[in-house]
Amino acid sequence: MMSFLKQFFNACHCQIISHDDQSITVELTEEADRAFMNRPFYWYYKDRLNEKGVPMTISFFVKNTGKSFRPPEEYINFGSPRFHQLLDYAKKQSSFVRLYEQCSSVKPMKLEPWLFVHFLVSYEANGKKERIESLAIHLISGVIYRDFLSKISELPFDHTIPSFHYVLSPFITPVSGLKRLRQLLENELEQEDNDWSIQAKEKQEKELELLHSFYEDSEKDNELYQKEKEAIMRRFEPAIRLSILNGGLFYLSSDHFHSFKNAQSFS
Amino acid sequence: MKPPIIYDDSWEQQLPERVQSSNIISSWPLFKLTVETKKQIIPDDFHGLLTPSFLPSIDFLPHQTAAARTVMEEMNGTAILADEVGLGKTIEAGLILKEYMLRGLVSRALILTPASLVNQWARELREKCQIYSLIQKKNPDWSWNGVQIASIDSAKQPKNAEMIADLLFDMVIIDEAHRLKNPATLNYRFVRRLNKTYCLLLTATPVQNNVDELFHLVSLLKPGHFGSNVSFNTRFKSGKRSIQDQESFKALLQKVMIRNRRDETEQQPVKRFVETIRINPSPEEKIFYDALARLKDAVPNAMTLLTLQREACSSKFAALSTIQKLPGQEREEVSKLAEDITVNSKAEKAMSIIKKQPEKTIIFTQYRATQRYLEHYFHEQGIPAVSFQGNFKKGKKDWMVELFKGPAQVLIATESGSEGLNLQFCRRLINFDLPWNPMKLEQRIGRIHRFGQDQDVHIYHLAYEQSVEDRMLTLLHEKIHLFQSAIGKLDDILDQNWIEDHLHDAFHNSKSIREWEIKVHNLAAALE
Repeated sequence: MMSFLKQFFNACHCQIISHDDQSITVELTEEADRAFMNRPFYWYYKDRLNEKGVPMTISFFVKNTGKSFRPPEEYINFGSPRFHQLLDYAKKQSSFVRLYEQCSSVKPMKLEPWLFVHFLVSYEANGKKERIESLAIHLISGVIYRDFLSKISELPFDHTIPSFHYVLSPFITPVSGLKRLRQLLENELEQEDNDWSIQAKEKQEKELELLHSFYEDSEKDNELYQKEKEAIMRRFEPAIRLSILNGGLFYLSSDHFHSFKNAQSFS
Repeated sequence: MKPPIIYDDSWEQQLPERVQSSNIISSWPLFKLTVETKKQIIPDDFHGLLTPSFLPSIDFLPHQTAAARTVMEEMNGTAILADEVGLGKTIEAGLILKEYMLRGLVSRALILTPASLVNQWARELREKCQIYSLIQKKNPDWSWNGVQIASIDSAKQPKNAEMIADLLFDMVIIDEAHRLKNPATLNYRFVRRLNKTYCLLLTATPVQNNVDELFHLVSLLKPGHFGSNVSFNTRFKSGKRSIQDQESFKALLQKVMIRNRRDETEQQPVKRFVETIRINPSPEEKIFYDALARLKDAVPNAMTLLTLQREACSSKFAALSTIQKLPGQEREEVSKLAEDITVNSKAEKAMSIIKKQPEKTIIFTQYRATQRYLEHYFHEQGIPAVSFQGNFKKGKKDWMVELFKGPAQVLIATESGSEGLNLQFCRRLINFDLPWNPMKLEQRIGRIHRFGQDQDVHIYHLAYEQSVEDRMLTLLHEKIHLFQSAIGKLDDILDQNWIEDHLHDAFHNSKSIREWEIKVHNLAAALE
């Protein structure tokens, strides 16, 4: 939790005033204050007066030692609505990115375009499990790599092209690149073992039978029957939901493309 | 059959525009952090619970996490939680709700409770589960897309019920669900019409009078689980309150109901010390009491006499209204004797218990008149005392408990409305008078001897020497363990009613006290 908070506030350019292993105190930026502190009237007032507002300073505690927290102090853990609010914000801010690898080389270098996407795969039936697929397609050759984040996570990126560098134009448009990634993933999902959905279907059938028997020899109340039936459908109906957590265009120096080749691709 | 793949194309839709846009915030650390954090918190299995590791500061008890898993993995989010009083059903329900929320299966939830428990629910959900809920009060906004709590009585009012019926709730939780045992009631019809995906019904007493109640409760949750009304009757019912084919009945019941029992769940049980104090009445009290015994011919039947004697054992004030109904001459004689009584020996005894070791004490009485007298008496003695009764408004009840937690040393409660009262901070209870039903006594004690109590509790029964109460004590309450062990078991959830029925019948239909005693005695012998 503490490492999340540190990384999060650093990434949001909020100044960390102090921290130890139990607590962290940060001075929010104006943007962060508007996003998290839920005081629209304050900001509305300041905006109308054309004045600069003072963002709040807030302390998060990751251990509950039984002491009572008074604003601006908060206890935070993975179950807190606050944590989910921060994560949602991070997700929204990083939904689409355009990033260039920062090479220290002084001679001109070409950067090649990639479409890099994190798919969220949700298996839903009478329960739910999820996983994240980290897929990237090289928009020149069409080669696809999985688990891409672990391959490039140590590389430096920024939102501006470093000097002396130039970017190649993609042969494959980002949209068709995305279609290929999705197609690949869907093909794979269709091959997967789907016992879980068969079991859910069986349970659903049984429940529907019971429901039917309940209404069979009593007077049929259609509205209630339909409501119960729909509830059973919702509780058990299996489906795989595919959505995109975040993604973007990444420009990588061409050296990497060759070094990845040693790792297994699948296309 | 393959499950359909449902693709959310919103990101794809925006892609062409974003690729062109020059105004893109691109933070590499935020991009990585989002994915890495998300990976840590998504459910990677259909089974198991996320919540306990997400809320590390709460120690959920083993029976609570086990119940939550069973509800999720086997009961698919529709269940009756029927733990015995004081085992933390609210926390269990909160844990289940939280788990469904963390898995992204529930966002809109409706919790219906008796009005007196609304605030308590909100507090427990907030403190234990970090679930922040909206309490629906005067101007409810039912469309709120989160967790909302309302009293069932306000929600079922026609104007609210209509609005609620149009909405879909991911989860509905109903506390004190034994109030939903009768399909003819407004409560029942209202809950039945709710549009919900998952549903939890909470009650410590799933059956109170007969088997049909269980049928109706289960049918509310899962219509058809016990078959239709007709097939249930032919398959399972024999007579008014017995069950045939018990094996399959129990098997079916266990698929929708979880019942944890106190003696199975407590690892280090808090000890309960029970002391019966037999009190010598003052001479005036004795004369008054003996005079009542001679009224045999002045009262309509033996049970009226018994009622009067029991009232007199509490306080002369409790007996007053019954005395008023006596024929003229007897009424005056007895009233005169009552006037002579200047001290209530029981009240003095209670006072000496309280003064011996100052500590929060709850006093239970069956009579409003006694309650008023005691409040007055304690005030005179300089002991801060507050009253609690069922017909208080919710806010007043909360306030009384707050006062008891704070400055007041004594809480004087009548039975009604004490359900749901959580007084773990108190560990001494005085039964000023005794109910005829030993289960009522257990409910009283359950207010302090419950989940969350970490110290031993002390219970005092007060009874006048050689009074009807004295006999009741011998007969009922000293055999309470016998009744309790027979009543507490899930297996015998149906037999439980059989016992209570007998007790009820013995008390209300006996023609004499002797007959009543014999009946109870026979019942006890049968149980042994």
